[in-house]
Amino acid sequence: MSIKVLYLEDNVWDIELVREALSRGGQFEVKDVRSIEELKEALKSSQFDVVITDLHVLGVEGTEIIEVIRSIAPFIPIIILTGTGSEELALQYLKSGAWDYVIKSSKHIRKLPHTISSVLDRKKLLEEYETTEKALRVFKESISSLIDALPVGVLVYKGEHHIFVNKALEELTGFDRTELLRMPGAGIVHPEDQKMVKERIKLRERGFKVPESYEFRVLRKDGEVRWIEFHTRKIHWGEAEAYLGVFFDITQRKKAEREKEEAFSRLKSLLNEVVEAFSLAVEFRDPYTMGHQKRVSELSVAISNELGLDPEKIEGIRVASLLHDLGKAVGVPLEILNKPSKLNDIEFSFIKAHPEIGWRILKEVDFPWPVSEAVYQHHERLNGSGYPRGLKGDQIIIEARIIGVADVVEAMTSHRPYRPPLSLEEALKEIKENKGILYDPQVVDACLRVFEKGFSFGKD
Amino acid sequence: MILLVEDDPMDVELFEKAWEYGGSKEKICVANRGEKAIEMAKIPPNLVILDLNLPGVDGFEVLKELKNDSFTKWIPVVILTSSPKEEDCKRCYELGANAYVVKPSSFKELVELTKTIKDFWLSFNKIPQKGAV
Repeated sequence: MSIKVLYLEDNVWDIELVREALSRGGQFEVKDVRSIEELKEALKSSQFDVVITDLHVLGVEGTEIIEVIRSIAPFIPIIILTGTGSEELALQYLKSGAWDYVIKSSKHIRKLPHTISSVLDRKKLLEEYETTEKALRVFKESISSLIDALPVGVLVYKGEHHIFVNKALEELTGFDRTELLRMPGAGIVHPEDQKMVKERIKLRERGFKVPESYEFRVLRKDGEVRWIEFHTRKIHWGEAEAYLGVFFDITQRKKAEREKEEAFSRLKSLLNEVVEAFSLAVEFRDPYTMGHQKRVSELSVAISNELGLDPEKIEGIRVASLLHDLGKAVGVPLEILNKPSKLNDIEFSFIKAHPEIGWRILKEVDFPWPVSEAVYQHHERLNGSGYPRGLKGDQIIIEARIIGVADVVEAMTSHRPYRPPLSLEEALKEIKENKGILYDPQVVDACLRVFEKGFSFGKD
Repeated sequence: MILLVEDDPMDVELFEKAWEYGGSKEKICVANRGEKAIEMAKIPPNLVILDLNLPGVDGFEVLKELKNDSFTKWIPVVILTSSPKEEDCKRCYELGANAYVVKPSSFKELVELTKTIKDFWLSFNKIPQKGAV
């Protein structure tokens, strides 16, 4: 393909000179114009690769010519033809936008084809450079807008210095980019969490391992506190190593967790209140046993602790012991409960029914512990002599074995319509004598240790 | 005195050698079981270096005991373990560990590590610890 040259010249002799210089090789297609107006017209067609111009055309100054060309075709290479002795001037024109110059003499003009291809090479290089530059700029802008569009706060830091922040972090903290970049390390962290965060940054720098994610609070510019889940990784930042910190706002999650915990603890205390109200209901009916269930519950819990049971299991024992005589309140006539003399067989059969009645009522409640079963079994005895089902040994759950012992000890030491209270020694003697026969030996031992350690029933 | 809690005799020997090579002169006492570590911590040592994988009472339990006891909670504890697990690291810091580091694979790195631990310990002593008498 030929190179299209636009040539501004009003001297016909010079035109011949240039045409001849460019005719060799045949790759140039020259169009000559004689005036500025013609030049403008030709440039507007934008079909030329290069412009060659004389410095003085019909009295127009070289600088003006260059300006005209650049205003129409800003990127077209311009080569100036200059007379011998005006080389200094030509250098000046190079500064105002010409790409190269050739001296107008038969000797120098031969170099013109070479000069043209050299400026075209330069133009190509420049275009490549600009394309790369533009691609880089576009890439940088895309990355930057991508990071800004992320819905999580991003911070790049090195030691105590913040190097980069994104838009989400500005929104999260209420501080703008400049403020964030000037801030000392951990500056946005809530003062109460700063020590921990700074320590971790230091430990990591020293070469210790710290968690890659942890939680802390951020104190916003407006004073509001936000909970953050912070993730951090080592990255390459330019030539050096730095750390990337990502901030997830978990304030809502934290709030929901707290509300859930509060609701759960409200429910737990509600359950407790209902259990205690039920427990009281039994005792209202039978004043002789006032406080009995509560005291049995205290002793059962003390024995369970002594046995080293799981806290969750102990809570079940506490609840079951508070309700163990529920069946008495609803199923046994008052006259029998408060009868001052020995009960006959029929009367005793009413008494014997109370664990089952308690079980029938409580089994409808979905406790997380075996409450109804413990109530059902609390009068069963190790050798099978208990009631209502005559269960033996391991058939009786640990909850019932504990409540059984605590119930006996408490009942013996309390006043009953048919007898005065016995002493604690007598009560303990009873369980010792029947240890391994009626009562679980481990539970009895634990009960004895509990009293040795100074346990006493609380008085209401 | 430094208390090294480590059940592997090989690891104990390597650590003692590395400690010496690293130019540290403090005496190292060794506990090869968790129970023994808790007992020896009452002496008390100036620094505890604790392995997590121990027979009987494990390193997490030892750490919990040391940090829950008002007498031993001020002793800096460095966890030296073969576990690079994020959850173990997290749990140790939650239980009050002062630093966590994964056992290096070469002796040279171990020597460097003893220096790091010593630097950390010296800087730790400079900071007045909250509640320390």
